[in-house]
Amino acid sequence: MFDIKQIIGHLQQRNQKAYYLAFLRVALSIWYLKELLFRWPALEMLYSGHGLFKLKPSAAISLFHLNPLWLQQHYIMVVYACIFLLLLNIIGIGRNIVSFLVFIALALLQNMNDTFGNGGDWMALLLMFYLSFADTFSHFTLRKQKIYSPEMQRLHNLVSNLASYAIIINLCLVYFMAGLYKAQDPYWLKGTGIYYFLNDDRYSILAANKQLVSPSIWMYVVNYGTVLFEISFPFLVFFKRSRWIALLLGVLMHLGIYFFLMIYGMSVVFILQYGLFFSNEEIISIVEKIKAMLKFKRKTLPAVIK
Amino acid sequence: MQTGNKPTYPIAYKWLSYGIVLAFVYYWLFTIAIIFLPKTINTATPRQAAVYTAFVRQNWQLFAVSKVYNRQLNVVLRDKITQQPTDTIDLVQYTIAEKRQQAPFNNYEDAIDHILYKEMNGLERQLAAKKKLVQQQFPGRADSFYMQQSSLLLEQDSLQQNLQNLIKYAKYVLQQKKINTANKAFQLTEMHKYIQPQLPAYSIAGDSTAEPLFISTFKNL
Repeated sequence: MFDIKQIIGHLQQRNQKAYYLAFLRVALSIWYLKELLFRWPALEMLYSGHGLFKLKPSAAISLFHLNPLWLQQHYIMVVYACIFLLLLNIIGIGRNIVSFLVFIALALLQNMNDTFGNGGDWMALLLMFYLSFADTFSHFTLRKQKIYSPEMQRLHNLVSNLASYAIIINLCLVYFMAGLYKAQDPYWLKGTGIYYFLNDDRYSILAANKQLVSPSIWMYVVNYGTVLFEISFPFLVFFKRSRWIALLLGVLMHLGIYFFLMIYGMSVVFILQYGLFFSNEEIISIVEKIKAMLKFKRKTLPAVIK
Repeated sequence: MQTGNKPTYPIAYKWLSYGIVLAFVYYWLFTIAIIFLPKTINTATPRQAAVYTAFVRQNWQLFAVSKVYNRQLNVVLRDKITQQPTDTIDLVQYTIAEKRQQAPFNNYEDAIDHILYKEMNGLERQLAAKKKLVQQQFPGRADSFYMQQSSLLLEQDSLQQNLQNLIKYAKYVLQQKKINTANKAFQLTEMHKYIQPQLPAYSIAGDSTAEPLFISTFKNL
């Protein structure tokens, strides 16, 4: 039966996803740094308000109690603050306080111009929010992990586990909702949703130079397969037997989006979360195997050269 | 004193644990409510909904709304003396070509593409509002009449920003393409070019034709 005491007790025992949460903190921070650096030439246009387009911050900026005009004039300070905090977050300095500040700074930047950004940007911000509560500092930090009193450690474990479950629930919800919306769209229902996206010259790499992608049986398979996969993902991923299939299909779908629809950052952010569907032991065992493979290759390399 | 205080700590932690779980449950109930009943939640708790949308927005259509057309935003140049058109550049195709050329390191071009589309969305929203006004005033006229009148009304609206931004972008593209603009006037036109339906018998909307949405008057560069 549903026993809240037992559930809380179980969540307090240990940080169930310690290794992958630490990896996710570093990977996501690096992803954000990469995005900021690659967007560098566009920053003035996006945030200054006097670039190529005259753009206004979103209405939500009032929640920060900062003057929008002042923010636009000093947009570069917000960008530098984001970079500085992301660097601290990568090496684990300031721990959850810095993680939360990273989230606030990135949310501020996002709301300074919400006309720009795709699902990947909003997903990354959500991830930063959840990670700012999690204990992501058991690995990949400059300093050793703090030792807390047993009571405090139990509380930390509880918050951290809830944060990792929040990421898992959110990802399942995203796929489920995306599938549900598609199931209500007449074109996806008729099996032509993929056809229209592959002929949308804004996204599709195949629709270059106004070429029309011809319909084929594969388009129906991918169309209905995508809807089915998205709706069933939350159910498939929780059974050990079907988990690998669900994640593999997810990777394939995101690779498709990456290579055919020119949306690059989003696929990375989604796939990064897949590691949370594995236990800490499974992740460590995978990492050990990769390390062993790399060592084996290093040892055999001179022999091959000889 | 110390031994007397000790038992209070586990109780405090215990209640704190319950409080955290309660906050977690509340967050997810609110999330599900805002996803399924956005209007009700926005009306019932406007402040909370605004904070939620600013920080942890959840809108996951992810390609669910099929687009049955491609957009064309042309800048047409005309010689001021001969009144003959000299150049036509599709700003959408220019932006997409730039984006493709730089892929996958196309963050700058992708940013321009996003903004261009949001500006066109804004323009189309305003045009639809103006068209509604004209339709109320002059019912039963041809579509071309409504399109011309709404375009004129939009151009006369000094408060709109979308058209100004699109004109600014058009001038930027002309500069980038090093097109001679001396003694030339320009015009901006927008249309939807429908993608040929995959299943003509079942097509719900759209065919291979184009629908003009906006035609500006000729202006000096």
